[in-house]
Amino acid sequence: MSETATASPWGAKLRLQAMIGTGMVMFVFITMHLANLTLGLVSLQTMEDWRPTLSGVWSNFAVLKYLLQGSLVVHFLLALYSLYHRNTLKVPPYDMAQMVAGVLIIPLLGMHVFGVMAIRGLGLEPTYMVVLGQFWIVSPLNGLQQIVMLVVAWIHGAIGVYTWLQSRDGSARLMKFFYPFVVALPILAMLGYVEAGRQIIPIDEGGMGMVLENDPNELGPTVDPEMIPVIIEQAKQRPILATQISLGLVALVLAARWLRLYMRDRGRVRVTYAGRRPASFVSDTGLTLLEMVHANNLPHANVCRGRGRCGTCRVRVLRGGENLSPPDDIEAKVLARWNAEPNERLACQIKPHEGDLEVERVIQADYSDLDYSKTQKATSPVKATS
Amino acid sequence: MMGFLRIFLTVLLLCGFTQIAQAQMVPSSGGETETAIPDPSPNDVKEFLRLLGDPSVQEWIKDSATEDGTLDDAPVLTFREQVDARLASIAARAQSLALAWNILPRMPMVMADVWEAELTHAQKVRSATYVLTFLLIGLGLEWLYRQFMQLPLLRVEQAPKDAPTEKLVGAVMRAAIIFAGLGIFAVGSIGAFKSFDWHPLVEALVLDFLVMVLMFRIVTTVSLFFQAPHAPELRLVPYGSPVARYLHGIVRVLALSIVLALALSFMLNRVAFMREMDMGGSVTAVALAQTVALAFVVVLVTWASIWIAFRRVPNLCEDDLETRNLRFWRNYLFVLVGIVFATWLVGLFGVMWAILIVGLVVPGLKLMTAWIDHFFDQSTAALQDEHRAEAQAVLDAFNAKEIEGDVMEGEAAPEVPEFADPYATARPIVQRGARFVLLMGAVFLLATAWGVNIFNLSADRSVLGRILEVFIDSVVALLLADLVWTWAKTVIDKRIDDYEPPVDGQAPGPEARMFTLLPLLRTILMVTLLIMVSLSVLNAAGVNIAPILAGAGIMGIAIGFGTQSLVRDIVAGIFFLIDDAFRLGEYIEVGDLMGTVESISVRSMRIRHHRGKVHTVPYGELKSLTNHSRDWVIMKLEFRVPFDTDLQLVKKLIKKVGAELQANEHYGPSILSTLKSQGVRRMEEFNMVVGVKFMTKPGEQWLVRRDAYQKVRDIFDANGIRMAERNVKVEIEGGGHLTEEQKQAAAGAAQNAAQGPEGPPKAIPDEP
Repeated sequence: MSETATASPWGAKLRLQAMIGTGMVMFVFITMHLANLTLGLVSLQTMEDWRPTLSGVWSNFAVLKYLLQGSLVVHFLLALYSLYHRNTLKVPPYDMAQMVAGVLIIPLLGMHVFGVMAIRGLGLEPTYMVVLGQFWIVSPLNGLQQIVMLVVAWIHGAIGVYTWLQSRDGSARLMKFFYPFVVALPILAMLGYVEAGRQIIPIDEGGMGMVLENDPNELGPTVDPEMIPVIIEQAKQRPILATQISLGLVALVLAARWLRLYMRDRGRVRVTYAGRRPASFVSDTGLTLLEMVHANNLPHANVCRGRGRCGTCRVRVLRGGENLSPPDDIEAKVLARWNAEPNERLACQIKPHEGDLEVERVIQADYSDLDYSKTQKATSPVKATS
Repeated sequence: MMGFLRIFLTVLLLCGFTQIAQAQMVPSSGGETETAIPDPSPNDVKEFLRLLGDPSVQEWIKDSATEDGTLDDAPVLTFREQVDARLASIAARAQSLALAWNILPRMPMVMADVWEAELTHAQKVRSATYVLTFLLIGLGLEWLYRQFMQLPLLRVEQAPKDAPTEKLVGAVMRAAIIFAGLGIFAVGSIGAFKSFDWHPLVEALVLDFLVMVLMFRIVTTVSLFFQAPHAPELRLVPYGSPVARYLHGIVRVLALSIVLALALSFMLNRVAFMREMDMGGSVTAVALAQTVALAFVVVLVTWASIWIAFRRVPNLCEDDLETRNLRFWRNYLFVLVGIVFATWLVGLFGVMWAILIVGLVVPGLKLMTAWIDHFFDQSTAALQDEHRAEAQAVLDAFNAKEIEGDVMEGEAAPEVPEFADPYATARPIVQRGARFVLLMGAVFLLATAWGVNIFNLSADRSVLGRILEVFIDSVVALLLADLVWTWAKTVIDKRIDDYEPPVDGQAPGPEARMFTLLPLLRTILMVTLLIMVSLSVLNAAGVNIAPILAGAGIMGIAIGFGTQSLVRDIVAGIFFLIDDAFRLGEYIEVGDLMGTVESISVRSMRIRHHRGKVHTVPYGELKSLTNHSRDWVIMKLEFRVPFDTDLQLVKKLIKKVGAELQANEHYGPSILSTLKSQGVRRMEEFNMVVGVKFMTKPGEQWLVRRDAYQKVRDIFDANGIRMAERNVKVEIEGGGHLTEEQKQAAAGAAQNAAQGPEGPPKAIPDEP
């Protein structure tokens, strides 16, 4: 359970870094891929010209190819692991969006990935002419699916990067660039996709349209004609298989998680918030304090949404603190960074036990008293001498 | 509380039905005209040109044109013909409904055929792709905007708010932030979409959907503005979070169903309209059947929402609601929705609008009143709390002092002023103003629904137009008069209520005259307003009011001559009162009359002389008026002392008396400048005249004078200063031989000769 996290902080840290690293690899890939789509706003030809540079590198270079595939698998498994350890599914909207998007990515992505692989299998080059023709003309439903997939994958990735960036120092300046980027790129990519489609559709309908210069696929499929139906059948079956496996794993993990939560002993804890906006509620134990607060619709500051990185959810424990387990490494580090008093804890890390707990917010829910100059960085000389 | 539930349902209903009805009316009427007129053939055109060139035809056109150049050959329908036409249109509607009913089972098939023929599968899916793409673009841009507005929004939502005005400001700010986001969403989705060229049908369909999404979001944002389900600090309606969340959910469901029905209805009508030319009337019937089915679904959803809301919300509320009342309003809404749907079904759109608008205005007015009352109640309560806290602080401070022993013996606890509601005047005015706006809005809506141009009614000679014109003019006049009257009455009544009659023996304040003037003003205003309203209503109804005005004018002149002095009295009185020339209880002098003002009426005032005589003085008679009771009075006294008096001593003694007077506990505080010597004022034959003066508040001078005389005499006596007495020195030359009696007699005779005979004393103003 979560005790494993405290028992092996090294493992937790490694997991976190692996998660971020694999995620970043895929984020870079998607970014380049979308940048390629964006060029559709100029013309299909430009899009095609840049394809080897922006998208092709990920399939032509074996290192990058395996890195990407490995990242996908590792990221997925790690996500399943953390899903298993989630105490509640009533999470903040951003986390919920990220979770749902993460589950959806593989079912949505399968068709595209295996389709492109099938095109290669046929001995064709997956030019945008072919792929977009597939999406806009042959099977428009697939095209619709791709738009959904683009958004879902981008949302998942962007939330991940956003959360990672936010808990780093000096994030405020980075965010100024990150927000416009995170919106502009998919929008431009979608517009590029639509515009490229508008260039392709008239050809199908017998009108004038865009034709590639020196199309590598002029000669048609180079593979043995008998193999063509087999390959196409494979391309149809594989995505279904991938979807089944991924969803089956998610379902399995959810069931295991439910079992774990069912087995744990539960009690009731009464939590009282003192200070400004006092409140009091009774909750099941086993959740973190922040999760309890969210479950009861109370406002609470939390920039990193319960990842134990930002330190904005700190509370001053006034009563009942003796039952809490001592801070683990992650929490202790954050508390030290904020020069926290001994009775201050992170709401997202403490799990109140049965009984009473009285706490007080250190930072108000509207962040009106959030002051980054109080962190250790600002006062580090003092800290160093003491 | 349950009133607020109604407002949302009713507003939604209103939106929903207007749209459905428009969706139904607009395309179908357009379709009919399009099919009825095929393009003219070349021969027809040639014939038309020939006819235009014909002089006799030109003459006829000229004759039949009216002054303003339009052809006026629209036959004036009699009432019977109008009823016939109305019945015929109902019958036609019933026929097309019957056809639609027959087609209903085959509808999906026919629609699918049309759909398939008009748009290929690829095109349909592509349309969906476009809708999704452009929605996402809009949402992405809005998200970006929200990211930058996140902190201000959070501050607005979370900052504690005490007074309702703060709440309102917060809610408005939040709504502004969200609406700006919606604007960005609209520009991002619809704007981006419009910047490409599209296949016309695809464009129309995608645009319909984007607009409908925008509408849905606007409705939910408005609901958010009032209910604020997740930000209790910003909630404007008087119920708790569970109810707000629940109602917000219902609003969303209702809005979603209505918007979906609208979008589908638009889409189907568009497709049907495009296909109509080659397929004949059956597609119109199918489209009608679709629309009816959709409208029916919307009605069902609405009924379900009303039912569920009225069932569930009372359980979520903290306080008990009156079951009978609730049931009445639930049934009312049920029936209203049913009737509106029925009238729409038979095609009586005008009637439908009338029923809908009137049916909604009635509960809407009650709701609005309740809401404004609630708002003001909250404001007042917040202020009262503040006031109470302040008063408590003052009392606490006093108590603390008392415990410490700092309080002087006999010092009373500090008086806490009564709480005065600052909104007492504003409330009725706001109520009336809001009612005015709501009613005018309803009238405008009604006029628009009936296709009547409200600003051009005088040009409309139809019966309906006339009736509407009279109605609107009268209503506007009545509402405006009511607004003015309410405002004036509230203000005047409040001032009259605030007037405190003076305590006995004290001079009244300046408000006293207003106490006289205000009821008069109120009456004058009421009469004026009544006359103006009745005249304008009569005028609107077509009664010629010129004779009435002329008659009133002649009567006015006659009465004016007859009551010239009366009018002069009243007008003069008003100005005297405005000038604040006198107040009740003041001592005044008018011409040769003087006394205390005892009563002030519209025409005259009554003065009581200090000896009891009562004078009645019409204001018109007043040329000038002397007021003895204003601010201060100087009184000068004189003493006659012999020439050998020590003037320094006199000055000192007078000063001493002055100090004594000032120290008097009764009238001391009223002395503004105490008694002091002015030195010798003049020399007379046998003595000097020493002048003294003092200044007091009006009305106190008599008492002070009395004491001053007495004290001065006593102190002079004690210090050996005699008052000069008139004495006649009689020297009798060579009168040494006279006896004492003879001398006395001679002196008496000489005195008489010197003084002259004693006359009655001249009247001098005496103290009252």
